[in-house]
Amino acid sequence: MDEAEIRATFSKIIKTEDVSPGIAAIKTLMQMVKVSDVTTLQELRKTMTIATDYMRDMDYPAASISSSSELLLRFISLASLDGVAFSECKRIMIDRGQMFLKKLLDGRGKIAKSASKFILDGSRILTHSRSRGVLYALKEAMGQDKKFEVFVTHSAPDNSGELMKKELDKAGIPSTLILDSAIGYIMETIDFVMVGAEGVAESGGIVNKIGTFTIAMCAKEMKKPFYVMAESFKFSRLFPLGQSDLPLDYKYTSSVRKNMILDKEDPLVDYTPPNYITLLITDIGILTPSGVSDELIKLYI
Amino acid sequence: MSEAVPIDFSYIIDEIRSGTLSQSNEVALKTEEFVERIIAEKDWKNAQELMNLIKAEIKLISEALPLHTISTNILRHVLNIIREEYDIGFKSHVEQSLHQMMTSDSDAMGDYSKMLDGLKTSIIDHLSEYKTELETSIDNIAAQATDHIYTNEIILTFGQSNTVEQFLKAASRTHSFQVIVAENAPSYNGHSMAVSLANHNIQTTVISDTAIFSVMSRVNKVIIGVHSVMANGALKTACGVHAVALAAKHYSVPVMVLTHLYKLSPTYVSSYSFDACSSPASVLPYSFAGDIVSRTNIINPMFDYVPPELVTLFITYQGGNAPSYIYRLLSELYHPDDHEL
Amino acid sequence: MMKENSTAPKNEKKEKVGADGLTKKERRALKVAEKGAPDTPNVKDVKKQPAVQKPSNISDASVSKKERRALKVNQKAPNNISAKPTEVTKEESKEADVNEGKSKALLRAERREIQEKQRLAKLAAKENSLKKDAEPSGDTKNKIKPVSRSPRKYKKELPKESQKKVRLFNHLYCETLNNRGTCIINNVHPTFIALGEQYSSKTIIGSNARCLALLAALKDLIRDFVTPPKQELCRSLESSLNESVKHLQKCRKFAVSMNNAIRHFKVHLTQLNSTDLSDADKKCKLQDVVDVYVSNEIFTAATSISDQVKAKISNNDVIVTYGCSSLIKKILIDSHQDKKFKVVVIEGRGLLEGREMLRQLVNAGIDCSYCLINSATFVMNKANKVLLGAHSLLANGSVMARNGSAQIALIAHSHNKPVLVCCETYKFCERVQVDSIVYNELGDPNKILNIDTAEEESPLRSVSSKTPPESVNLMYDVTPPDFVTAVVTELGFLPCTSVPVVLRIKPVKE
Repeated sequence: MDEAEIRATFSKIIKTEDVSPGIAAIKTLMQMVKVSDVTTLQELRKTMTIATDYMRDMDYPAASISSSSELLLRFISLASLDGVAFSECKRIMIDRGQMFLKKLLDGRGKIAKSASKFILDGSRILTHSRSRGVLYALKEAMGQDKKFEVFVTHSAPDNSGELMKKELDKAGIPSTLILDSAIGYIMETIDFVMVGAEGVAESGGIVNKIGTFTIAMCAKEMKKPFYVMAESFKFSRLFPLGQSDLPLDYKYTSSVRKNMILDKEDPLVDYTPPNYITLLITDIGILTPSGVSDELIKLYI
Repeated sequence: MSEAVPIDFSYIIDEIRSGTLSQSNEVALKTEEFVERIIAEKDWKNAQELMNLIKAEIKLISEALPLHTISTNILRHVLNIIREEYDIGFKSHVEQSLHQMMTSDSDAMGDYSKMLDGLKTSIIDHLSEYKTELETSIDNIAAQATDHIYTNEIILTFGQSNTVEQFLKAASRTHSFQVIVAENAPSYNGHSMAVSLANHNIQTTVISDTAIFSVMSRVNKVIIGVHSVMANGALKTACGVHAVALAAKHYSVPVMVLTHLYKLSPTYVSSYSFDACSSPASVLPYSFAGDIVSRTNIINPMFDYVPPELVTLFITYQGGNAPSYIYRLLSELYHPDDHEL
Repeated sequence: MMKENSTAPKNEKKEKVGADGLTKKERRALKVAEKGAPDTPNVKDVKKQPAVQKPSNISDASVSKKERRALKVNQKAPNNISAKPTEVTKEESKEADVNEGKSKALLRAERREIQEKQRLAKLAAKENSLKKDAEPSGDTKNKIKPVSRSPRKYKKELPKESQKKVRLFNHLYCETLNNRGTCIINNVHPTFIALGEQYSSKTIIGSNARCLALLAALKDLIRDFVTPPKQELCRSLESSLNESVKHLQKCRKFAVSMNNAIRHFKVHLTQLNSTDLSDADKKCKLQDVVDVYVSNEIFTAATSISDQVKAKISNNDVIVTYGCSSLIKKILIDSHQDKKFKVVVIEGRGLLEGREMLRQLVNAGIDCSYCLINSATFVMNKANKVLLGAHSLLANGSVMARNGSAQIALIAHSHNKPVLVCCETYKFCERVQVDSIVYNELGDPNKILNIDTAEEESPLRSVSSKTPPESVNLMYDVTPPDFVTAVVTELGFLPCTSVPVVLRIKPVKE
């Protein structure tokens, strides 16, 4: 597959299916493995890495793309494929890949179920921007006949919060759109904050839409719990020391990076350190921020 | 009564309900004996059937005693032991993690119905090790006392706990220190704790719960026992301990929690209240102006929630741990599939 | 001064043998055997008797009498003697005068011999059990002697309960009339005597109540006061007032409100001194001063505070309050006329005052809940605001209030609930304090042992170990200013840290 095809497949998947860029990346890579004509494992790896670079270069948030591709590559390297013919390898990898994908998609349901336990009758929930994980959790809770209220931030600059509100209305969940700057004002009446994540760092902190860190700080000050929904493929080995330590391709899309001076640009994401996070609700269980590193160590070492 | 441990847990449930069996260590030992009897005497052919038997008991207990987690935790741990022995027998390793998701042939996961010889004996062996662990748990915790308490310290404790008592008595053999006991109204079990400590020649002072903040500025350490520990390191304790922990945080006094592993529950608590209250008569006696009592709402909660950031250290028989490590202890004790039963 | 001189030789004599070749003890024993005496059954008197019977040895006798007493006191507190030289000296000389004129009967002598032996035995036993209680016992011996010229009656000193003292609070233990046994007081107006009794038995509690009672007694004193001949009204009234105040301090330490009220009164007394009015007019004016003070500082201030807090209470609020405060009671009952809210009364086990508060609020028709302080974290989640009364406000912004208020403020702060402390400005004080232990009052430790909601007695009552547990009942605690959102006074809502500003402004206004 060449560059143009990769990009086309990737965009198509994102537009037609409602999946996170990470999953779309995995699907694209799987497709590539299926149709590729390479003959050795090394070459396959190389092409996959290059494909990942192409995908990161597009104007989609790079955080989850990076982590999921990393994970898939690791997955492949862990498969015990020594001494097997390459065509056999390919078949095994494709099967494994499908299984992996299936588990990831199932994970969403698990997360929604765990998260819905935290939503009680009469809860007032604050969320930020549009997150599929949070949406599923709220829908699940609605399905359990719970009565609660959601506050969504507009979340400039792309106003994805408005999209979230539309979807909440469709699901019949009472919701209110609030200004990004009204977070401090509303926090004293909120019961807890629930956000998604684009990436989970090794420290246990998260990378998410810009504005998340502010909400987390406010919640901590007002003693409100801060819950994060994150699928396990979003775990990465990143360990940012601060906002400036985040990789550039996370913060800015590729077109922005090429054209303008970055200092004056608005970043897409920010990093929330682990001490502001109460719990991470993932498909491998409910974790405290210190548990994330444990999982990653088990995987990579 | 203790000679013939019944094969029906309902006897133990009755004892717990009536209050004759109240000490956590005794409950733990009785539960463990009960499990041994099930394994030895009941009819089961493979691991899956045995686990189903135990799961049925867990369901029974959690319905009969919703606030009582010691027995259900021990049974959960036994389920984990069964799975472990099964896996060792078949040399497979199933652990839910990122790693496992990547490496396993997933369809083989979770099937415990193959017959395995020697499963029964290996489980019983493992259980007898576990029993020794339960029996020596308090002593092992008490043995760490001299690491944490030094001479001329002032220690604050709240109400009554057998574990804390043994801990302080062990330390008093080599060091001399003072203990301040908060009386823990309305059960006032702090009084009997103070008497018990004083009989061991430990200099004790009893204060009312109102004075906790006042004396905290002079206290060196706070040592408390708990009812149970939540999965994120939060505590479910006697009512009033949250105030102690807050005061300790304000004066930067370390809070040390003595706990046994069977008190660790894999549940998360989503709200601050445990929805359990006991009789209001211990708060305001009926003899006080009956008409006032009938027009007032009297609150007497049983438990208190203490968030994990207020706890400095958990001391178990294995040693000291930070609250952020509790998730690790939990993953060693219970299998994730057994968290929700 | 005389005392100090005699102290030195006394101390020396303790080790030495006297001129007649006897040690002090032997000499004393001789004197005891030779008794006859005036008809005073007092223990102290008995001690002095033998000395007095030998008129030729009066100086020796007085010295040895002092010496004897000093011996006993020195065994417990070598410092005390020098601490109160003048008082004892005066007593010495007066006693010597008195004893000289009395007759001696044989029967009485025999009775006294028996009493003396019993007394010595009792003192020996007491010394053994009270070896730790250095200062208080010493104080007792000195304080118990009233200072006056009329024939006194000494009463037998009843043995004190051996006080279990907690080392941490050693500096807070002090001798009060309560645990001293009976004593006759002179030169104090009967209203003050009754008042002292009410204070020490805790019949009157609460800083406003105590202050009002004090001022009412003060008015009685003014009304009944008769200027002694050749003396000035104001000066003599002041000294009489000082006597009474001293007596009351012995019954129970003064509240800050009472101190401030007395100080205010004395200022006016001094001002009045320089005017030319008749005694009757002066008395009238003084009574007016007291009335105006009460009306302005206490009642009007209360109304003003109540109105301000009422404005901050919204309908369907849940208000948490602690213990019993007359001001908070007034605020809640007044606000109940216009607004609908719920009150949670939190109780502390020291004085169980919350019950009284509960009774009054329920009778006023307010929807109340009641719980003990251990449930404070449980109720704080649903609360909207916390209203606390105060004993006084200190100059560094700390609030001194009933024991347990600091804990409530801490819990409210951790749940981000606003804490309002309601306090009239007359309770502001220039003292500073950072924690609750350096300066506090100790209540009756038996209050900890009495449990009225349990069927069985507390095990602490029947403990039989060598080192029994001690119980401590602190009366007050100090809340740091970070926990308090605002202080409501008649001058308005103030931040905690504005206390010194108010203290600076207030005297100027008067």
